Amino acid sequence: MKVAITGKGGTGKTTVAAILARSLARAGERVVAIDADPTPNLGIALGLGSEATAQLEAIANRLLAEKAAHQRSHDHDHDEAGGNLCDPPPGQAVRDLVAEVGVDAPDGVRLIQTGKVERPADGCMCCGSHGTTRKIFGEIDSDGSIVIADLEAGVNDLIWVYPKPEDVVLIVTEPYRKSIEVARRALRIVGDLSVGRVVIVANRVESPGDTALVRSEFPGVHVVEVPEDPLLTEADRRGSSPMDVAPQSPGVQAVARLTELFESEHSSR
Amino acid sequence: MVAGKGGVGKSATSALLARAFAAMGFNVLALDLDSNPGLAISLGVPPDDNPVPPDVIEEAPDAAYGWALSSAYGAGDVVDRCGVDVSPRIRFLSFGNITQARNNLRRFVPASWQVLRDFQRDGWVTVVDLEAGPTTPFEGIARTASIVLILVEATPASILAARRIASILEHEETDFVAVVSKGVRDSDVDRVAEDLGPPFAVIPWDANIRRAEKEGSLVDLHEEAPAMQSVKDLACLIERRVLLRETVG
Repeated sequence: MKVAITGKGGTGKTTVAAILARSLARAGERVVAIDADPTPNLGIALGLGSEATAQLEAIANRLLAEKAAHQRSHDHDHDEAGGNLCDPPPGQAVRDLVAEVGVDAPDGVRLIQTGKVERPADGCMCCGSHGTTRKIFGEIDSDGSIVIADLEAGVNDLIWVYPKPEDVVLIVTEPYRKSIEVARRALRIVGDLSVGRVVIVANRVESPGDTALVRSEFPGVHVVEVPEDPLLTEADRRGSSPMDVAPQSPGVQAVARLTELFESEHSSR
Repeated sequence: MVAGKGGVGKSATSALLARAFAAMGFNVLALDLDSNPGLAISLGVPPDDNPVPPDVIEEAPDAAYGWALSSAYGAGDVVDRCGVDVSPRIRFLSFGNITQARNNLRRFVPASWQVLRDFQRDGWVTVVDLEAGPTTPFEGIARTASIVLILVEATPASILAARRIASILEHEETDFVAVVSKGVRDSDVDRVAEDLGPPFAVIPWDANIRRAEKEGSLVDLHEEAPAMQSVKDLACLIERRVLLRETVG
């Protein structure tokens, strides 16, 4: 099963992705986590530490370099039929890439970084970043595992990734206007794409007013609330995983309960 | 230009900066280059998903994404025709927000860069709210900036993003400074300084902003609010720094 997590910048996508990934892994699932952010930070939230996270290999550069070599040797035009400047070429199987380039994070979560692009000279940065995420998310073998993609902030990456009807999309929002506007757009996009399973994660809820605001904006959509939790904020500041420093705190528990949605999905397959 | 990791406060800071420069006597173009409607909301402008009419752009095979600003339009024309007045001295302009899977917004992107590059009017300051992350400065537009503010919070993720953006800007030879956003404790400044050097300014965490964002926009944020005061000081510092660099050359 494949899960894409989207939402406005700063709403908590990465934190939700990390807690969900490790919770599912602890429940016995095989989990692959994809960090689609051009500046990798999912590793930090998973508990790998800042230095190790900063050193994750940029797959995008490998794919872009392959593409450049491929184009040189085959003398392709940019607009060759069936090809797209921003699509990495057929090449190394995604399974091999995950095995080679991925790293093991706590609880056995396999982490792969798709958003980072080191050298713009190898291709336009946005295409390298978004194109790589699309390729990996689209082609990764999810039989027997749960793939969780922490997308780049905003709706652009969501469109690039192009989730399928059988995928799951979590839209993370906070209870204020800017965040909700992005969530509304994301909801419309997943509707356009006929994604079957969409959940709004209302993050940092502080009051009944917050709850009412989010629920009134998204009538008829499954909404899961995560309370404002100072321990989660503190984990962020420290560069630690909330799963390590505050596993029992209300925020962590609320996100961990999201695993219930997937267990019933997964076991019914 | 205001850059930084998602959620650090770019739109809010851009809106407050626009107010600060306006209070100093400048006319301000508040330009939103983010495909998400943050700056509009901070300025109290209802997000308009298609503010720029299609005739502003024309096909241009040599341009990025194949479209460019129409030859019938100058940068000033776009600002005058498609901008929205937020206040007597602040004009807001956005080229649109992504709303659907079939996203044609990319066509407007080169035109937005052209307006950014070509819009020069005496007495005007352009405040640009960039998309989250390092992507936009990468695309070469950073060179049009007199200065880029990299907003950073005292978290490893935010600092990592700031470092990435800083290295891109160094490469683009653009002047930039680090500004601590949502500062809570003195140790925040130390934490940021460890990685990025002493910050240019600190904008303190301000509960007034959180409340204002929930209830409406930042246009009515009280003049005496701590964050507003810091942003006003920041605006003065920016003016001085840019003038000095222009004089020295």
